[in-house]
Parts: sequence; C-alpha cells; structure tokens
Amino acid sequence: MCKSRPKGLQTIPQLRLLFLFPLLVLFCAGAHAQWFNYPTPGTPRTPDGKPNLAAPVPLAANGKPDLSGVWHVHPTSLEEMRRLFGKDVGAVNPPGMEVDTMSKYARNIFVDILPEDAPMRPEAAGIFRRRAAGHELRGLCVPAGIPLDGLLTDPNKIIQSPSLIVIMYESNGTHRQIYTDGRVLPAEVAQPSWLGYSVGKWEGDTLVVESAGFNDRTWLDLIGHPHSEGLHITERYHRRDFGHLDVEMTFDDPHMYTKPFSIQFTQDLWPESDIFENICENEKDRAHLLPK
Amino acid sequence: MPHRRLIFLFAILATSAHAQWLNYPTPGTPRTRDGKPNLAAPAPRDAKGKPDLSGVWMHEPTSLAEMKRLFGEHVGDVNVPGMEVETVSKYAVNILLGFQPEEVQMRPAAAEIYRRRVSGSDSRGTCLPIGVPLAGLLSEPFKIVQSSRLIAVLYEDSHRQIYTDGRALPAEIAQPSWLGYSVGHWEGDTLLIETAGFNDRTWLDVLGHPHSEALRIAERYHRRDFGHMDAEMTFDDPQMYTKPFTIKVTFLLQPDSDIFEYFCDENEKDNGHLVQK
Repeated sequence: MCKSRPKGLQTIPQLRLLFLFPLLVLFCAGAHAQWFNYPTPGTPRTPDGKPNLAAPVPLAANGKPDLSGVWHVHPTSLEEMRRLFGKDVGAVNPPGMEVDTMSKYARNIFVDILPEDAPMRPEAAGIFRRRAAGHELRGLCVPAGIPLDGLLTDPNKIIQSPSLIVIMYESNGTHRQIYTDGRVLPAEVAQPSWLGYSVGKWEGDTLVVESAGFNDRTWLDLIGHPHSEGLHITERYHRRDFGHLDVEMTFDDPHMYTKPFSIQFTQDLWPESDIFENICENEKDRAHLLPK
Repeated sequence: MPHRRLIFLFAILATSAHAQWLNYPTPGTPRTRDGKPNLAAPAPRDAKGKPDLSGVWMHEPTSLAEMKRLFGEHVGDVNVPGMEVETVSKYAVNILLGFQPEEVQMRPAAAEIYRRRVSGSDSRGTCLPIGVPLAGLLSEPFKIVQSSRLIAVLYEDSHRQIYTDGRALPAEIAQPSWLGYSVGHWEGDTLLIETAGFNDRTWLDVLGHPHSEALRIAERYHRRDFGHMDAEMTFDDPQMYTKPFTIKVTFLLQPDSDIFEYFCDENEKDNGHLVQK
C-alpha cells in the first residue's frame, strides 16, 4: 500500500481549493446549448408534449439499443460537493461551468474511498504530488480525455452506426471512435493517442467498450491523478430508459495503480438540445503557465 | 503570385501524416478474388435503403504535372512530407480556378480581404478549424459516419454534423460557427446538403478567398460505386461574389484505413511568429 500519497482533498488548505478555480478555467468550454432546442424527431412525448424520459429505449436497425443522443453526466449537487470537498467549493462559480454542473468524479476520481486507500504506486503519487502542488499543469487547449471529457459541464453526443459508434465532445472538435465491427483490441497500439483506441461489443443490452493505446498526457481528474500508456479502460453502457444511460468505467493501469478501480455514474439525455462548437481559439494560457 | 508565399501557406496548414499504418481490413468491404477491396462494387445501402456514404474518403488529388501547369514550375520545390503538393486538390489552392474573371468576380470587399491575405498582411493558421470546403481538400482524409438521422463528418481537426432528420435550415442562426449548420435530404440516391450559419473566419482556399457570414453552401454527394463519391459544391455568398460558383470533386474511398487524431494545440508554436506585416 502506498503511503506517500498527499493528504486528501478534505485536508488540503483553502489555497489549494482556490487553486482548483484556475484549473477549472483551463477546462472552460462552451456554454450550454439552451437556445438550441429543436424538437428532435423520434422523441417519445407525454400528453403535454414534453419528452418522455421514462419511455422505452429506442432500438437500432440491428435490434440493439440505440445510444444515440446528447448526454450529460448527472451532476453532483452543490450540497454534496461541499460535503465532499469543503464549504468553499463553489465560492467562485464561473457562469457555464458551475461546480454543480459536473460530476464529483471530475474533481477526484477516488472521491468514494479514503485517501489512504487510493491504490497509487509511488510513481503515480509523485506525479500527483507535482500536479497538486502546481508544478505541473495541463490545459493549453489539449483534450481533457477519458473519463474527464465526459464528467465536466459540457454534454457529449453519441452517434451510433452499425459498425461504429462515435462520441463527439465539444472541446476542439474532439471525437472518439468505438469500433463495433467485430475487431478486437490490437495487442499493441503503434501510436498512443489522446482518446485511445476503442472496440465495443454488445453483451445483451449492454455495450461493453475496451480501450487502450492512450498517451499518458491526460489527467484522470481535475486534481491530476495520472495514468500511464499502459492504461486499459473497460466501460459498460446500459441505456436504462429513453432518458438515462448508466455507465460503469473500470480503470486498469498496473504501472500506476496497485489494483483496478471503478466509477459508476448516470448520463442524462438532453432532449431537443445539441452540442456546441467549442474551438479553443483564444489560447492565451501558455505564457502564464510557467511551472512553479 | 509569389510562390514562396504559397509554400508558406501550405506549411501553416500542416496537419498529420496519412494513416497508412492503420490498415485494419474493414468488415463488409467487397473484395476481388485476390482479397483486395473491390472499389467498383456497388455502393452499399443503409437500413433504409439509401446509399451509405460511411467510410474514409480522400479527394482525387491533382497530379504534380497539373499543379505545375496551373500554378507554376516552382510549386512543389519544397515538399513537406505528408503534405506534398500532389496530395492536395487544385481547388484547395484556388477555389476560383475554373472560372474566368468575367464569370465570377469578387466584390470589392472580398477583393480587399483577398489582397491582404495574398500579401501576407492577414494570416490564418494558429490551430483554428480549416473549415468547409478546405478541410476536405488538403492532404488528410475525412470520415463519414452515417446514422439514421444524422451524418457526421469527422475531419482530423474537427467534426461536422449534417442533420437528416427532416428539419429545415433555420431562417436565422443565432450563433455563427466554424463548420456551419447543415441539413441534408435525399433526392433519389443523391444526398443534398444545405449549409449556412458560418462565421466569416475560414478561408475558402489556401490563397485566401474569403467568405462572409452570409455564405450558403449547397452540396450534392453521389456514391457512384463502392470506391467513388462524386461531389458538387455550390458557394453562394452575394456579399462577397457577384455570382454563385460551383466546384466538382470526386472523393476516393480509402479502404482498410482510418483518420488520425490531430490536436494542433498540442504543439502550437505559430502564434508568436505570425506577426502582422
């Protein structure tokens, strides 16, 4: 068991919590697409015309659940965020990226366990310590990656075709491909990438996605839990009803963690909405991001 | 036109190399007896019976000889690996190539912007989306993913959505965007796409022919057979051009290949050097 992990967020001095604010700003993405409410054809509706989010799951032409739609992680309430991360959370709340518009796992992927139980190996703890202390920064308009791109304020869009599922994120035109054409994960992925290489198959009504081939530059959460190129992610997607997609993600990175760990969350459908373009066209961070 | 300028323009549009290494034999690809993809096979159909445009596509490149004939002997003197001159379309260099000046003219506002860009007083680059049509006419392939109500076009640097759920183009688009707002419908076996709602910041070609936010593009895509898709793109921007103009491009399927990830900001070093002249 690793003993060198920095103290848990709960005990990090207030300054550190405020430091999370610039981190959030670096992740700043487009505002919600509220204006963009085209009544999506094929949406089941209640008698009053509202989308019926409890309606049955739509099916694709091949009889599998159709996961297509605009989705957003079910956010953690402000009250719960404060309970978990301290009462100062949300004191600075930038419009469009309020603390209660994201998942608690975006702030700390190990939030459900005691800090001393986080299975970091010494190498991971060293990287995490540098990041938590501000000696190493991310940002700079590069992808947030998996899982963070799907845990923040911005929705994502799933497009399901018979042999390929695409997840579109708002930030910088990022798109992720999940091959469902029967291929298996290559034994070796020649070119590690930000979004990795993903293959999916159906186990009954659950889409099981295996991913590898990541570069080691994305952070698993906002406070900087790292991963290596050896990261392997297994995701299980189950569309419970029209409006809800249950997700379980298991992270296996033996270089960095002593054992695999999982998070579970639900994505809510945003009916009649859409993702925005969010091009990082005003990159001014770099000059200010001198490592301390 | 000073050819050095053209070389520089190519350099700042530099994106990733082809995805040659990524040659997974795509299931569902018709093959000849020797196992090679049969590009002359019939176009595949989707569950609704419409042509399925899904696949990795690359424009039919213009030969080096033709590029030299059109743009001068010095084109290709500096050939950056992965973005050689003969891997781009002639229309990527000059979208008005096929027209005599008396056929299509830039209005004074357009001519002024164009002059600034050609003289280097106005640069693009700096990791912004290349836009329509240029993103599909350079050295990188793009991928079409056709689902029942939406067609996605994945460029290596961005993604574009084409709604095929029956909606019409909104009369007014509140927020102009880099890739615009696109709706498509089928006329027989041809997909018609109408697009508006662009911002005015993309260049129509490498030289810098401009467009305004009023630009509308009408595209027609016809997958002639498994390996070929004929496209016609008509650009209508009355604020900038005296008449609509059309280019015709054939896209070639890149079987058993794929697009790459490409995140320009990963290594953005242009900004400091792109001082306005």
